[in-house]
Amino acid sequence: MEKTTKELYRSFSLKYLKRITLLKGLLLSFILFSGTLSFAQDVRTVRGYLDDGDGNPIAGATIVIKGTLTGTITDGNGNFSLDVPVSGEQILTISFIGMLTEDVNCTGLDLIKVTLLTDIQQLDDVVVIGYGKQKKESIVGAISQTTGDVLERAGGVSNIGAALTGNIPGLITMQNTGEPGSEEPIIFLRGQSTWNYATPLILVDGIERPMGNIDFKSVESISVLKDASATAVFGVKGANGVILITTKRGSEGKASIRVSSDMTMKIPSLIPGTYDAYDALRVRNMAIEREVNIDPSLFQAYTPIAELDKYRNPSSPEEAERYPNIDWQKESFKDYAMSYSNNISISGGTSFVKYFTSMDYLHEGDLMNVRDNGQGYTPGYGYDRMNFRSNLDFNLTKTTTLSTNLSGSHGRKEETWSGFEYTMWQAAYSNPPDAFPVQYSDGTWGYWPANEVDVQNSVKNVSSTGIKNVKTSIINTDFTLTQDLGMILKGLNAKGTFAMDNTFISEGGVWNNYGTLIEKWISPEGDVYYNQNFGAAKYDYVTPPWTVRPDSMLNDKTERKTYYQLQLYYETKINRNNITAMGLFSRDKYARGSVFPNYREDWVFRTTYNYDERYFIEVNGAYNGSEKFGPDYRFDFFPSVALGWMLSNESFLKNISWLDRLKIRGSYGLVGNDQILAPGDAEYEDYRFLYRTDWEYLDESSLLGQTTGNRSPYYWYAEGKIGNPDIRWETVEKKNLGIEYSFLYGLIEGSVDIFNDYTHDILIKGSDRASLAYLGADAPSANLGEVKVKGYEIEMKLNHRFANRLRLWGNVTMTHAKDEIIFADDPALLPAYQKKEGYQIGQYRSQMIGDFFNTWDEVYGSTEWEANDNLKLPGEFNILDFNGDGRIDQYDDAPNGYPERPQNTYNFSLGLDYKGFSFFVQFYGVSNVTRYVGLSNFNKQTNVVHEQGSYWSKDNPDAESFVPRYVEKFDRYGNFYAYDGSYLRLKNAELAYTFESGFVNRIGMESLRIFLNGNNLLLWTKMPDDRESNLDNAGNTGGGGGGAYPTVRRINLGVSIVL
Amino acid sequence: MDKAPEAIISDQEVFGTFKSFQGFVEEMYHCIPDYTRSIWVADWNIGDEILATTVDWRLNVHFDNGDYWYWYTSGGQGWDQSYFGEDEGAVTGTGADGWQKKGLWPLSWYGIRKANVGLANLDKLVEATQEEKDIIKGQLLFFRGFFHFQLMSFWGGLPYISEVLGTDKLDLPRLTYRETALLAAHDLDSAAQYLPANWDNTVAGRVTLGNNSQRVTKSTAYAYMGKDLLYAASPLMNKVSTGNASYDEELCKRAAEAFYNCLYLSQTGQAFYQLTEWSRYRENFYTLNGDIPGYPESLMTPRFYWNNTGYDATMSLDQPQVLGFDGNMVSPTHSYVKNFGMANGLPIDAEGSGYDPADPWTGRDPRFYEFIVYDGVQVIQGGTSGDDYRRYANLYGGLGKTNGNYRDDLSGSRTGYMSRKFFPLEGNEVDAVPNRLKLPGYMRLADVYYMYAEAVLYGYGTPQSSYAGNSGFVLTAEDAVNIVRARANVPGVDARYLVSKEAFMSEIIKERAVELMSEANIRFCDLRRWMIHGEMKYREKTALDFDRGPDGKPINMEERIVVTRVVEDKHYWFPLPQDQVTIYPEFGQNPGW
Repeated sequence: MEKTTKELYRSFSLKYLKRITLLKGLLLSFILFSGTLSFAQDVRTVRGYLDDGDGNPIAGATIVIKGTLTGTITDGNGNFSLDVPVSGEQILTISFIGMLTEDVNCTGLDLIKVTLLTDIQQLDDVVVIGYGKQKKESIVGAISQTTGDVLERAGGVSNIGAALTGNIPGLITMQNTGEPGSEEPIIFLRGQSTWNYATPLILVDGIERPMGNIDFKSVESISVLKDASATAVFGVKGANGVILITTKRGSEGKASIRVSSDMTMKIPSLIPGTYDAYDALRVRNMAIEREVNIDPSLFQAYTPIAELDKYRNPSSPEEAERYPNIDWQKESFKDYAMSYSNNISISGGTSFVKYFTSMDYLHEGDLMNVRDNGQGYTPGYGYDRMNFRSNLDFNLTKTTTLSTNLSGSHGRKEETWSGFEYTMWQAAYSNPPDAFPVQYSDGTWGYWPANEVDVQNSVKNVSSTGIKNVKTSIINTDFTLTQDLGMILKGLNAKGTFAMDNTFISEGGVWNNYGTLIEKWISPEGDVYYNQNFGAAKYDYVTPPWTVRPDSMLNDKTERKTYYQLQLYYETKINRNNITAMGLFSRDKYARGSVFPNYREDWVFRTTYNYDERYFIEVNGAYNGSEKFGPDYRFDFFPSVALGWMLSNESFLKNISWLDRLKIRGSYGLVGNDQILAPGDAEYEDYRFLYRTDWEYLDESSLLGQTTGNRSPYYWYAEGKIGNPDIRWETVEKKNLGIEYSFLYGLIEGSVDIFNDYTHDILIKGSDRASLAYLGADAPSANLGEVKVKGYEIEMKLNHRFANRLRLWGNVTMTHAKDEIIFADDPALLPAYQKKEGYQIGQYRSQMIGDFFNTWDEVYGSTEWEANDNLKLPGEFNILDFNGDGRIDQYDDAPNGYPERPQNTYNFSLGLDYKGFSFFVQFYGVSNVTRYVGLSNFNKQTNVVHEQGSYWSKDNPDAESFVPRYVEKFDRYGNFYAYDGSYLRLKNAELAYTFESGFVNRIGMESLRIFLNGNNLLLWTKMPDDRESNLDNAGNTGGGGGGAYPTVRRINLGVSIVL
Repeated sequence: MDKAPEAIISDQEVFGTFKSFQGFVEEMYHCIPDYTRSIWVADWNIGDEILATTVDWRLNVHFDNGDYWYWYTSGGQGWDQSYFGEDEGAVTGTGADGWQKKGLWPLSWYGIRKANVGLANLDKLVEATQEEKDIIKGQLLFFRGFFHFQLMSFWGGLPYISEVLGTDKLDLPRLTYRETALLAAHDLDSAAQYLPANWDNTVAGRVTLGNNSQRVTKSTAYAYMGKDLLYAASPLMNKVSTGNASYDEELCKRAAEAFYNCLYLSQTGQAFYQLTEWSRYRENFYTLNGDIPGYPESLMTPRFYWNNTGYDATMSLDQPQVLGFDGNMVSPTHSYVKNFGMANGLPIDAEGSGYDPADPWTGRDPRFYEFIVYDGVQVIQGGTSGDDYRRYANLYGGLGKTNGNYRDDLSGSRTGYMSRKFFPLEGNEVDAVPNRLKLPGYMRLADVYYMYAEAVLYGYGTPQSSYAGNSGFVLTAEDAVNIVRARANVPGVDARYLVSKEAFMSEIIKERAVELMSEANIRFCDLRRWMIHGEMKYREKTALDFDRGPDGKPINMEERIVVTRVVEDKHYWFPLPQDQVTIYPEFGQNPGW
């Protein structure tokens, strides 16, 4: 057999040395590693081969001489060799993750063949939970877990949030931009149960940290905690659910080196279509023909056909500059952009130390078209990130482990120094095609004197407003000491953690004074206008030179965090009674910029009990405090209880062979939320001490009576926010009932959960309360709101391996979550349909359109508008008089459609593996969602017309759209632009081949995997663009239909090598 | 976990000394919006003065269509065209960085609360002289009355807030206009007792010697007291309060007294306010020397924030694209320009006025030439021959005619006129006069003279009546109007307009239109309070279409109605925001909205 005749290695360390390459050497220089001990005494060599019973060799399994620290691991072909002492007990312990560990007596044997059996229960049987881990079968809370490998399938996506989409039931994501370095989607778990901060708590290795800067090749698992039982231990922070990210750690064995490289092509996804100059002006003529009924002078703007034609068929290049026809989408965006990512990791370990270290480099390229600005530098957008991580576990003594995690990232986001970021790409959506060319033939940038604010030369803006490099450095350090206290009480251990996180952000680059260059415009008549021509400087304007702006630390954005925690854990088994108990104390100090530090303190316990793995009970609680609240409300207790029954372990079901597992579980508990705004929100500090009324010092003192801005002797004081001493956290009462099932030896498994969250004491910001202007200030904030969320999650996985080794698998999940506002301090006299009460958070509301007015008779006979009634024309929509009071006004705004957050999400994945080949597709969709995309035509008399179907005319009364208005607009479009935001995407697809033998081994690799995958490949939707939310992460609207950096589709080619 | 003690400011720190307390008061001066700077291209005229280019986003375009909601919904266009509201009530922008964010509605309420907080903490002011204590108290009372008056004049009767409102349920009813006005008058009257006549002559004012012009004084308090009472006495306000649509004589008399007190302080030199002499007349609106415009005539101006020379909102507002601006222009309507009389003091339609319809721009009131650019005026003074195409105001044209290059419905004058009230003609891109500081105020002495005349006329019955004040200073209604006319070298009101209240009033109406054109929405408030804004001559905004004849004079003239303003009964008042009127029934919406 070729495998067994392969070269044998004398020892683990030799083998190790032989394979060392320059690259490895470099990597090893920064990891701690100690070689294995080799035995000088009498030894003999035992060789062996390991397989899984299906004839597949098992690579990377650990073989240790029982009772010693000596061992080795199998190579890519399942072979191993190990020097075994000739005397004494000669038992090898053979283990591999996902397999049952086996002891083999090799006394007298030189060559052994071992088959390890798959441990069906074990594959994913350890679940990361709050402050610990638990065996999957004893979990009674609603927890979903996925692995780093699953994330890696999301073709070319570089952030975890986006890669999680579809892979966790109950997780709802909304992607709204494709800007490099800002693609973190908005995340909700099981819907939205508060109008305040509704983002789940995110912990990385147990510490609250942002997930945007983590490279996910370092991620071992992601665990998502959803119900009270799982989240109550996080007390005042767990209300929105918790996402636990666990990074990879080393395991005992030889160094496994993994190198991977990805190359991603990003292509702009769907952008609203606009007409070219000819068509836009033709529509303008149509509009004017109607509007002269209101304003005869509009005929001045009518474009004669002969002139129209010049836009499309100019007779000379010179005429083309006077009658430009510019496709701003084409000018603004490249056809594609490239991203690259490279990663190398080494993991392994000895009995003394286990290590995982990795380095990751990511470059996200940019879609924006950048032109040579003639000034000697090249600006643009882009994102580069370097990550490193070193996770070490030292076995200091037989009972003491020290773990140190050192990780960090250095990100560089390249942007421009624009005061208004959105103007950089708004042109693609809202620049008129006929206004001006990007550059005239002499190289001068174009501009439009008629409206320099709304219509900007965004290509010029991107190309000439300097380079802003925002550099973010993050260094996170944790130390954890675990002591087994078995000497005092068997099963007791103690753990102490200390963590320090620091984030630094600096800004610098090329400063070009907002790009004040000479710009010109040639009017259709041939007159030339310049922007920098004021007064005497008319013809001698000199472009100011750019300067290098050195990096300066943004002091208000630096972050510091120290965290420490002490934990006691006890586990015991008395007959069939399994008991665990955990107690924990932690303190957290966090500060940003120069603000006074934020403090938190938590006391947490968890006890679990099960009888015979059949009946489970778990009681959790957290007692914790938040400085956001006054002394009376500062601390509180958040308990939860959960029960579980593993039916399949009952004797009456145990004999049913096709039933692997059947469990019923339920939980009930309270969790809190003390976050009002996102950390980092500009107003965050304003909502920090809401229980107090304080005087404020306003740093404003310009001298009255002067124009020069001298300081006044009088510095301002003002009354701050009116405080409310009763301010407290929001509390969610969470209920969850779930069933977990597994049939037919793992062919079908999954779970069904029903949940019901009731949030009360939701803070209503003073500015959002029904408060009277004559109070003269915002009303005090108060915990008055109530919201209910109901929903369910269904997950089903299929997995079957055919006899010919073809494995087919599938995964279907669906989540439904719908919230309802129970109380929101609505003004009492508002009609019920205008109250927030009774509707979802963010329910879309508007006037509603009826049929077109087809004749003047219909116009005159229609319900009167409260204002602008004189502007109605045939071809417009008849607005519904919703409340039937005989006039159209703001009381006809009524709920219709859904919120922008989908009620339902669906995911469907299908994959197959055959030998080295694997393939999978993942579809993801949402429904019951409304998204307003206000495509405005002729906004401020710019000739932008969006494609929105056929236009109304007398002969076409069933048209898809009204004729846009050129001037006399009044925004009476009702819900015309409220699109059904449902969509279905081919979210991910991957085709891969793994080489594990043959030539790869000959060139020193264990395996080589080549894959082609893609993200967001196909989209089916009624929306005119590919964005899932108008909001950015800070809650700002990206200008409705436009103003957003386009989202992208990605095609990724990658290779991954294990050495 | 308590708030760090270093982060807490004590009552004593805020109110303990004159200096700190005045720092508390100081912010109230910044609660007054500069109505010309709500956005980059300013927008505030909502009466019959101007016509904008054909756009849909102008405040005055929406008001012409009767859409008064636009006072607070205009922010929906991406920025706020209206200086009345901002962010639906959020109090923002008292500071220099918020000069564009000031909203009259939210900041007036904010200022009222601030005044009440100050008054409630007056006892904590210990380290101060009596004079200093008075100055603080006078300012607090003044601003409480002033802000209420500002609100009333657009929204009608409101609750009068005279204490720091707590956080309990609020259910104050709206008072009638008269009740609200009387409470404001009381505060303004008290303020006048405490405020100094001239800050420069006080110990406290010496700290800011030479920079006290914008601070409120006795005169300001009297002037606003008079204005408040005159408004309350006016037909509209009297009608909504008492059902009687004529002037309230009693309130007119009280108003006349307050105006008299204001004018008397100037007459005797105790206050520095004087009519600016004719040669410096334009300094009421803009200056070229870096001084704050308006003084010594202005009684109330907003804080000036910005002297950026690169871009001037008003210049851009009033000039056509051909002069180097963005063309979002407003132009005075021909119907409004007709208010300008003749140099001989007669209205153009009066017999013997000498007005020649074929030569309409000759021999007019001198203020016509100060404020209005008409066809043929030389605009560009310097430049090269390359600028000849735009050197003279080519304002001829109109519907069906060939437009001069200053005239265009989309990027130039729409009416055949151009306003030059707020900038020098040389403020075009060729002459480029730098350092233009423009700041039309809220009230100047000329306005006080007119209002005095109106109050005396309806309080005491004839143009020849006067308020019986100090024997050394007697001022009849007729004199009051003529003093302002005389400054502009316009002869006094002709005898035929002195025969009746109505005749004299017709001259006051024209006179105010001319002198106070485009200032602080005085016109908008006047038309409403006189209950005449529904008359067709004030509803129809017209343009003058004409060709330029061979001798440079206009020919083929035709007055064309461009817009007929929508005016119904509900348009007497602004609507209140919906979220304000749905909380409890006693705080109800204005009628018709």
